[in-house]
Amino acid sequence: MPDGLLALGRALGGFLDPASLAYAVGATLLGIMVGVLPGLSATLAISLLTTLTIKLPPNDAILILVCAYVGAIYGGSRTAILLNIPGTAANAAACLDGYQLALQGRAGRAMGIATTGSVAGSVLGILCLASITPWLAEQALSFQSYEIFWLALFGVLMSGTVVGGDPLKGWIMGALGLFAAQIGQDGIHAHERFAFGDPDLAGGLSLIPVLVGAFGCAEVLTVMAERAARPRLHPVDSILPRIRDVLRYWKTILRSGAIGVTMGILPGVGEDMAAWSSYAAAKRLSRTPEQFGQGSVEGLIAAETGDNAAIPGAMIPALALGIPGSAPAAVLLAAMIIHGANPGPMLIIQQPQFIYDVVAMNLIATLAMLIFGLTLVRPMLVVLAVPRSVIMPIVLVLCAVGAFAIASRLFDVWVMLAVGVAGFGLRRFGYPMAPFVLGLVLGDLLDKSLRRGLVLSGGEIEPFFTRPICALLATVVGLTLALNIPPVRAGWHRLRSAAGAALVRR
Amino acid sequence: MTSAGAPPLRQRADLLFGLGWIVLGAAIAAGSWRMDRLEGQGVEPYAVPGLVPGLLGILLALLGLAMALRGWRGGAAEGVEPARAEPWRAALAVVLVAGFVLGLLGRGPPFPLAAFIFMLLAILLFEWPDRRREGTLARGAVQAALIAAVASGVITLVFQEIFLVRLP
Repeated sequence: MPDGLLALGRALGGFLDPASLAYAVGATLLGIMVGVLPGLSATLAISLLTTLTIKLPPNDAILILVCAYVGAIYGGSRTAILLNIPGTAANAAACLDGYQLALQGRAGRAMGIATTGSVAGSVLGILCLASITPWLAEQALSFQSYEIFWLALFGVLMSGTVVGGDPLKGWIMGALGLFAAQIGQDGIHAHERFAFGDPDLAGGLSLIPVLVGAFGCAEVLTVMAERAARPRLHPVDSILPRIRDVLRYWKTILRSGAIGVTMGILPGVGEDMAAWSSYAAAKRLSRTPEQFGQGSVEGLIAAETGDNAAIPGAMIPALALGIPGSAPAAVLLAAMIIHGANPGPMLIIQQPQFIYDVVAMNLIATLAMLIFGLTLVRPMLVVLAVPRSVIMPIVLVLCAVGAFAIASRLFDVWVMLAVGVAGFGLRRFGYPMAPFVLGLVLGDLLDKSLRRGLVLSGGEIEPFFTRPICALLATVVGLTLALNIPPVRAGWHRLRSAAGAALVRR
Repeated sequence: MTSAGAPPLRQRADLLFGLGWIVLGAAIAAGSWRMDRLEGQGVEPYAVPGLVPGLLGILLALLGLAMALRGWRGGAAEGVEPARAEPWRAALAVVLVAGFVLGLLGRGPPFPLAAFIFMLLAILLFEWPDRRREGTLARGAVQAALIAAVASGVITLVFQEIFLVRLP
């Protein structure tokens, strides 16, 4: 532990020069602005910033990305409270009570509460990041291909089950994403797959163009296709958070933080799930559940603490296992690889300082978020006055540049377009993009693990089911699949409500 | 999230998509089956490059089958967002974006010009109905041109000069 603190101190010291602090401040501000604008997500911001910061030294580049990540998730709560429009999906839960508080003329208080919750969640998440990551990485050193295969499959399955309303569509997108990762040279023998003789396809579909297409181009098309209404702003009162609020709801804060970190750690499940789960748990365990949805301070704190705790939480598996905990974390992972860090179990051996660097980056981002949250309320909302018809074309041009900049291939921009148009169409029918992205990220890992595992075991699939962690993961996967078949699900619901009724009667 | 009275179009969508996934999955599985087994390199049959794509193809076909069955039985279409889009906007958006990426980028016009043309057209055309109603078409055109010019200039400057990133 002491040398952990020492490493953390060294990391923080490394960031205390004017240039780095300026980057941090600028990036957080940019992130908040992106978060405020509906239609633009944290994933898109990080993707575009990755291309922008390619030429910067690694620690500065990752610092910018982490700060933008934190800022974007936080910024969405502004519009959620003031306009009932979540800036990002993670802030949808904040709309419920935050907007009600705004309608009651307590918008400022709501924003102060949101800020408090966000900072608390961030801090809790950072503590977990610092303590769990080294431990998890050490456990992962004993993971072999069998476990990694199941983890990758579990991640994609989880994402498909949870994101969007329909697990079946989520799984289909996950399968598509996994397949998309197989296009190109395979990871073991470099044999070209599904390239149809095209040299560009033989290089495979790279992650950033696909991400920018799925979360940028598709989003732009969706927004441009809708008629936008002009939002009305509500008056804002004092935004200094009251310590009383923090102290009174300390249990909610701790609980939401724990839920948020857990959701972040689960691959494929990210900030929006964290916010909703924390909100739901707070509502179920609250002494005043009827307040929820009517302007409950507790509900708002729970949602905001949860979604901010998920940010460091999502970085835990990314750093320790090389498996991202959420879509923005997937981009962060890609960026880390581009800049030469090697996330995964080997990180703790080869570059242990990097973990503490990331912890320090999160701390700096949280501090910047706190400062901006307390000072920059009104100016942020000016950004919303810019009409969507102006912002969206600009964003699209940025997407095109972003897709091109990594490898300077026009093919990447075409990939972005194809994914964007396909994503736009699919989204209209309820197919979520997040599992597709996760499938793309984890597809190569899944492929190599399965084949390596089979080679190691000489063609036997038994180790895939009998090794302890594999058995656990396989069971969870099986249960998840089974529980979502309608007859089984109906039976499960009946069982649960019967049990619930029995408990209530007691 | 089940709704008994889901509009028939959405159920048909499930059925049609399901069939589509089945076809795609089968195609993928077939392509994987025909893939080189690399026996020449001494690769075991369970480690061939086509293993995972083949499994994924089968999985996709199965999921597609489940979806088609669901659509055929008239189950609910879950998770579909309410349609708020106006068809002409959607079509125009796709045409403009595709035109920009496929038609303008890398074909000849330098990037700032390509970006300018795209942004100008996009802003103008999407604001057209509102502006025509308010009678501010001319002002709208000038504003659009200004914004497009400034934006394309700033983007070029920031990316190329400050951050040293190549532009298409």
